[in-house]
Amino acid sequence: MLKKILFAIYLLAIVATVHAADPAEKMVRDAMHSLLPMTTVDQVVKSDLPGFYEVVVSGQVVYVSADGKYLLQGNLYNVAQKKDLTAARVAVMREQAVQQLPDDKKMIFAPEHPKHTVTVFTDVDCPYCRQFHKKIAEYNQQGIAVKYVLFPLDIHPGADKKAAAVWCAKDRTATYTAAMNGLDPGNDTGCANPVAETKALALSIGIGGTPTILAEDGTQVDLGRASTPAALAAELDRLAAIAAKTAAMPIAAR
Amino acid sequence: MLMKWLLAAVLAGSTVSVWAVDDANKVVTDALRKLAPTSKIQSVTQAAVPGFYAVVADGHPVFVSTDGKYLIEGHVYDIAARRDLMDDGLTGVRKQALAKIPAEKRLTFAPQNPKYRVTVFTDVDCPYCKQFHQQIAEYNKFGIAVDYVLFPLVIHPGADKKAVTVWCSKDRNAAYTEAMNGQALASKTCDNPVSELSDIALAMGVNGTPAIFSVDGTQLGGYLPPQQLAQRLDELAAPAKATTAK
Repeated sequence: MLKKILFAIYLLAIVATVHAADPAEKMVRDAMHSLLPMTTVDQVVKSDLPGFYEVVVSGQVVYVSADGKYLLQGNLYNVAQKKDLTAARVAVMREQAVQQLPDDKKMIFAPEHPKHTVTVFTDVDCPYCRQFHKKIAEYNQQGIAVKYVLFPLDIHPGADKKAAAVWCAKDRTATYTAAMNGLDPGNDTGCANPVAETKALALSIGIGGTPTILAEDGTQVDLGRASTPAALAAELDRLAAIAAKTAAMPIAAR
Repeated sequence: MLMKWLLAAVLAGSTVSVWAVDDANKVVTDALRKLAPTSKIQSVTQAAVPGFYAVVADGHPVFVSTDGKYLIEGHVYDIAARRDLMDDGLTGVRKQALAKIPAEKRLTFAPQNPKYRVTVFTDVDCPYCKQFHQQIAEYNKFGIAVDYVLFPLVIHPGADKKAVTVWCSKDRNAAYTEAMNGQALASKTCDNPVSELSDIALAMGVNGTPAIFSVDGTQLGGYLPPQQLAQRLDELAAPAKATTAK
């Protein structure tokens, strides 16, 4: 029995070694390490782009050539499909991260039967976040459920305390609404709150500003296309249509 | 006989390379037609990264894979050299564009025997352009001749009129200096190259001011203080030396 287990471990070890010894992957990891010695590389997988690996680092997707010589940072497009592969990959990563954050760590403003759900990273001290929230009833009327994730920015000193105070208030959503109208949410920040966690989550998926609106599939909504509740609803319809089209495609064609 | 064969090979070789250029243009044109149908391609060259063409379209650099399947927008770093290769294509386009701006369409502030020459795209209403010009004597002292090209930004309403006023003044350099010192100039108009120069700037991918270029099309900076600009120019003039010194 023991022998069997040992043998299994031995096999596992071989598999692990073979995996780590993929020479290209090692080249890629070494290249990333030479560029960013302090940063952890989250993932290295073969990219659609021949000869390149896709690397996820600090919530960003970059591409490194298999020989470790070149790094592409920006957006990679599939020409025939007119598709931004980088944005699509980032969207998947963000969608998964947002899914994994339970609803009881978000603040939800939803209509009865929502047609769309968006996740909005928000900061009490961000003017556009306030502008957005002032129309929350209208967004709901448009059939849009809004799940807020608190993301106080470092450029707003004290915003983290306000976020915690909102969270610790008896009526969280009412206090949030009041804070977005300029009222002081108070100093009660002593409760167990997820602000540090949600902030770390935002940073880990490459979100650097507020408000950041993610559609259901993780696609970041262009704020220019979401200037009014009706515009956001139309944009979400458009994105959903694109997502449906992609889902209907055979995997090989995606 | 051998000579003949060699000649044939050379001819074949040249035909092949001509074809390759046609091929590159076709691949890139088709790819951009698909992704950005209204864009105008300015240059297609072989990229330093194998398997890619370096393309400039609408003053914007991109890489297109030689099979035309992929397009990259952003940065392409040579990891060992710590250098962004994406700018290479742009540098060629910029050099050509700069060469097309004649001396009489620039405002020149030069020392006696200049060691270097830079072109600076400038906007009368841009704070760092003002800061730059307030130190013009120092740049000149470092042996740097400065050729200004007027490029009023659309984000500064009225800056175009001020640029035209500078251009239409009897003593352009003096008017420019006054404007950069914050003096209000009485509005003037005349035939002027301001919109033509703006078009050139946009085609070069200049989208902010100040934008400083060396004669070979390399962008040296946005604003750089006199000593730093002189240093950059020294490095550029002797790149090999600068690398070994590191």
